[in-house]
Amino acid sequence: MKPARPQGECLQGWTLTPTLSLKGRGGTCRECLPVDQTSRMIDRFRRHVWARLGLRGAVGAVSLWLFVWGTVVLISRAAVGVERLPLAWGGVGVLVAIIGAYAVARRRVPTAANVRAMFDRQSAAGGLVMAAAETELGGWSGRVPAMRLPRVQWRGGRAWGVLAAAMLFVAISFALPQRMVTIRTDRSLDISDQANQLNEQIEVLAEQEIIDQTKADELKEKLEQVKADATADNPVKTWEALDHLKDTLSKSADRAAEQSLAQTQKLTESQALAEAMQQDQQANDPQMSDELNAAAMSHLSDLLKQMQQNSKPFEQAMSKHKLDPNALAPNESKQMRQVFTDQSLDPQTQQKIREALSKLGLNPEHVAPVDRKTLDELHEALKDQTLDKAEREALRQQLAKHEMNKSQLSPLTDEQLKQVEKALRELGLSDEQFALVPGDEAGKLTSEQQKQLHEMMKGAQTGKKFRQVYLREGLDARTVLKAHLSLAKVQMQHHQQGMLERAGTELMWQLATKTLDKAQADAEGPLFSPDQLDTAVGLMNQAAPETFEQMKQLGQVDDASVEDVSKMIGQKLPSAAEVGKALDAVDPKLLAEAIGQVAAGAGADTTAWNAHVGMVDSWAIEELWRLLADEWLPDDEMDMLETKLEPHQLPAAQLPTLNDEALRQINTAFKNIGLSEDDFALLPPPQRLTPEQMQQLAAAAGACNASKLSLRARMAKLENVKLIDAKMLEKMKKAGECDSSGLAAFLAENCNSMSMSQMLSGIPGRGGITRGRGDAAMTWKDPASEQGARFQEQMLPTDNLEALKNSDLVGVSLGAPEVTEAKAATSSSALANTTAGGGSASKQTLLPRHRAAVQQYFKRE
Amino acid sequence: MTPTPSLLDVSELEPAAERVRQLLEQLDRILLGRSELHRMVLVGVLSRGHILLEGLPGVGKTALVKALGELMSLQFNRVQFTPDLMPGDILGNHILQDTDSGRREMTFQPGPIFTNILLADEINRASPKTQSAMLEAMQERCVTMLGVTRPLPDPFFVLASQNPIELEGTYPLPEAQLDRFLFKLHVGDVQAEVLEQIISSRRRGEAPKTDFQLTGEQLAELFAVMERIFLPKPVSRYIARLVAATHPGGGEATEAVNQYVSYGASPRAAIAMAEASRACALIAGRPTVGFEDVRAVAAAVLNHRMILNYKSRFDRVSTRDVIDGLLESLDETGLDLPSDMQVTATGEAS
Repeated sequence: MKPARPQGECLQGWTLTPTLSLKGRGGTCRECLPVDQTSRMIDRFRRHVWARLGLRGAVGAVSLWLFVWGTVVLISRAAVGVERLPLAWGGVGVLVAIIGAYAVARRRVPTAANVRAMFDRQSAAGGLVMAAAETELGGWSGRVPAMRLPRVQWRGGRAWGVLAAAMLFVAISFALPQRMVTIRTDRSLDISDQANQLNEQIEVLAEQEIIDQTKADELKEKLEQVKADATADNPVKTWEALDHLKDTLSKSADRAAEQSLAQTQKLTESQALAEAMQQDQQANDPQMSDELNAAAMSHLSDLLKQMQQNSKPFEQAMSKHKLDPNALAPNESKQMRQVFTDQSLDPQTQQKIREALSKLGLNPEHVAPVDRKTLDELHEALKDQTLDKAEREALRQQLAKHEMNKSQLSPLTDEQLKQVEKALRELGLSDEQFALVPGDEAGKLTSEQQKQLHEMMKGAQTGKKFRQVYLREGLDARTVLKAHLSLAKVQMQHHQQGMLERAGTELMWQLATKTLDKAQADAEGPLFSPDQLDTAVGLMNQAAPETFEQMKQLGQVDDASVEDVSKMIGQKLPSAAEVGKALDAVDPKLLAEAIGQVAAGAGADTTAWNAHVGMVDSWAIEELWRLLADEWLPDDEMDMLETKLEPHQLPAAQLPTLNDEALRQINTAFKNIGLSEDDFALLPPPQRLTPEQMQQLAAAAGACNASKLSLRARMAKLENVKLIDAKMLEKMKKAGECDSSGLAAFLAENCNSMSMSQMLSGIPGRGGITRGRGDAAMTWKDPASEQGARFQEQMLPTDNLEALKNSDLVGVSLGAPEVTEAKAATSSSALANTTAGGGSASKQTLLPRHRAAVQQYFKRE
Repeated sequence: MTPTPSLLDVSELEPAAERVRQLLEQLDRILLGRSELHRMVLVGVLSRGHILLEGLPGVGKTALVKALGELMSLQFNRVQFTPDLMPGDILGNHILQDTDSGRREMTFQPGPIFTNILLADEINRASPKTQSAMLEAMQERCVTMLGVTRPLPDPFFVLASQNPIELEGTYPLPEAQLDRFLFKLHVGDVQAEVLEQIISSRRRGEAPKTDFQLTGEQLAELFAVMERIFLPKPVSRYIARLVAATHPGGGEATEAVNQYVSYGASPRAAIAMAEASRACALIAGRPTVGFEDVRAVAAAVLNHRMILNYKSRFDRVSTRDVIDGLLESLDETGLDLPSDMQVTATGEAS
């Protein structure tokens, strides 16, 4: 026990010196503090403890929060793709963690009593320090030992390490690039190569206009969807989708390839035909007849028209080569020509048909296409003079179906209809044949007929409607104008005779002028082709003077208008080609008669012709006369023509100078009349094609070749992206090979013995269900592989197999084994040749010498 | 609220502490090499507690008790407990006796228990009946026979001894009786040097004569001083926590307690520990009880009050081991700081 403190010593037993004594501290040394200061030390110690506990808790809490924060940051960035900046707000949690840690630590701070007890123990006070809090120490206060403020130590190395790791974790979670933290929930399937290839194929197909852009966009969208949905978890689905897309593209490409192949074949055919015809025409001695040429040209024209409709490259090539298939086609309407040349129709019937159609305002030449059956029906109907109403209605329907649209009929007033009917009666139509007039007779105009008439007139009044009618029905302007003008003429004639009202004349005139005006002023596009327009103007020209005169007499038009219209009409003089066309449409007999009249010096009295020739076609005769009078032909041709016309009493002075085309057409027309070439050899050799036609042939060949190249290039592009195989490209190449020389030789050889259709159907090697001609070359497929081919197996009986086991191998030879009948017949055993059930039973060969032994075995006593 | 008692004055405490020191010195002079035992016995005496001495024969148990009685001027009786010892042999008997008036009446003949210090030698050899006869005397410090209660002399101490070997024919003390002993002290072997000193200085083992003797008044003064030794609340809380921690499943019970202890110490143990701590403080010359006083007496107070299970035997864990672990783990101050925080004394001096 420590001895009692002597006077002048501190509690530690040290001698107090002036330097050690501290004022205001009870005269004790630095080590010996008075008891009343213990409370302050306790408070201080408690603060230290709080600080340490708070720090300890804060480090732990912050570490925990940092780990949570970093995890949240990683998950947010990986799963949702949250930006870094919003996630940085998690730093506030650090502050919260620190504050929370200190708040919790405050509750864990030891009580003052506990701290005092600790001080007591530390200073070995033996309970005095503790007692001081409860009672007065009295004399013992001086014996309280000195207290030193204990130090609170926290061994927090591990906690600091965890904190550092947590901070590093948070830093990494923020610093990692987005691409590295993005979680790919699905294992994507890499189909980029296939997708790129398909994309390329789609682009090629769209570029080549095999599929339209909308379809291409749709396919691309599908492809993108497949790419997006491609997962390695279900690759089959992706591959199926890709296969489906690929199949779609392949089918489109195959279709395009087949079409291109077919077009190439047609182009080759066209090119070969065009070149063959060129070669034939350029030869010194052309072999192809006029008929054959016409047929070939017609066939070529048809082919080119088909190609024009079906092949866009060819259409482009046509414009590039200035190819016009119509220029190649003969002007005749083949069907109509065939009808009129058909011997089954007598001339009277033909005349009736012609008249009926003419009275409908239609040119028979332009009624095409009319099939043979329709014409036959029409023929029968017209032949029968006792048609009832239903039959007439059927006839009208047939006519409307093939020649006139209902809308071309406009409702006329009753008065107008009566006048029209009267006018038509003047043409010789019976009531049964054409009953238009309303009344109490059978020929009453039905409401439908009235409506049709009304529509016709309405449509004719406006260019647009007129154009619609024209476009819809495929009628050319000349046909329609002719119809109107014919009617107008009839009306004019009757007007002169006082049969028509003034309104009817005015109506007809307006129809004629307005139609032309609309045709020219139509902004939507040319109403008529130049040829058609010329024709129309020519017709107007023919009709106008009379009409004008009538109008002027009636005071319905002033001089200025007449002059304007005349000027306009005068500028549109018909060309020689149009004259030829007009001539072509003329009834041969009437034409012959007209020519006869011209030759007879009937002059230009067209009114006289009208009585015979018909109002429409008289103009053509007039034109022919005018052309002849203009002397357009060279002198030698004029002489020749004059000579040729002499039998027809044509004055030589009146022979005009005709160009080749005009002469050719005249010749054709004359031939149609029935004149032989001997009688009428006006024209240059008919087998010669015109330079324009030759030019068109060259253009056709060039366009075909260019189109073929274009198609081949197109296929090459498809082959490049593996949409079609190389075989198809090879086929294209073969299909494009053009042997024009061979065809020319073939045509030259067979042109006199075969028709064009026979020749086209009989070209060697075409194959097809007819298998071609007998001398057609056989076509072979690619040779089959012999790999895997073998003979059919043959099962041998079991006894033969057993016999083989006991046989000796003599040798192996090629070829089928030889069977010797004699060997197969020999047998020495009782059971030999006994067939076993598929070899399942045991078969014993029992020789005759063993029979006794067997009998002995089975012998019974 | 009870007024807070003031601390003993220095002038009051120091003479008492001086006497106790002298008493200890005399005991140490009489019995060589047993100073710690002497100190604990003195603590027990000052705490007015009964002490159970456990040791082999001939280690000086009886000599210690005799020396203590002589030094403290107290009456001393020794009873050798045997299996045939009857309660009357200790407590006393009524005997028929002729009175002066010629009548015969039963008069009480006090037994050896009516003394200040009773040495119950080899107490575990007596029958339970006889052992239990001492219960009232030890707790109530009086004897009731035939309805008459007779107080025992004051002070009254029982210093019992028992042999840890030769257990055949013995009757282990019941827990209730064990609990009445303040201490259970183990009297161990002495060092060779001490033995040499005994042999050389003591003929036939006779203790040297001493002229120091504590009077009855002085002893009463010591008891009075003991009453005023101050027990601070943190210390009393520590005692309470310590005793509570001896119970398995307690809040501050150690792993060893939970594993090896069947029953912990009773509240009487806490009382005994507080008293014994006060005595320690007195011996140390302090007016207040410190944590070190508690730690000094804790083992002696608790070791016979804790009942270990069989597992402790298998693991060779003694009660002392459990108590040492308890004292080691339990923080006296109750700071309850985290394990990674430490309070060091080398702090800043304010």
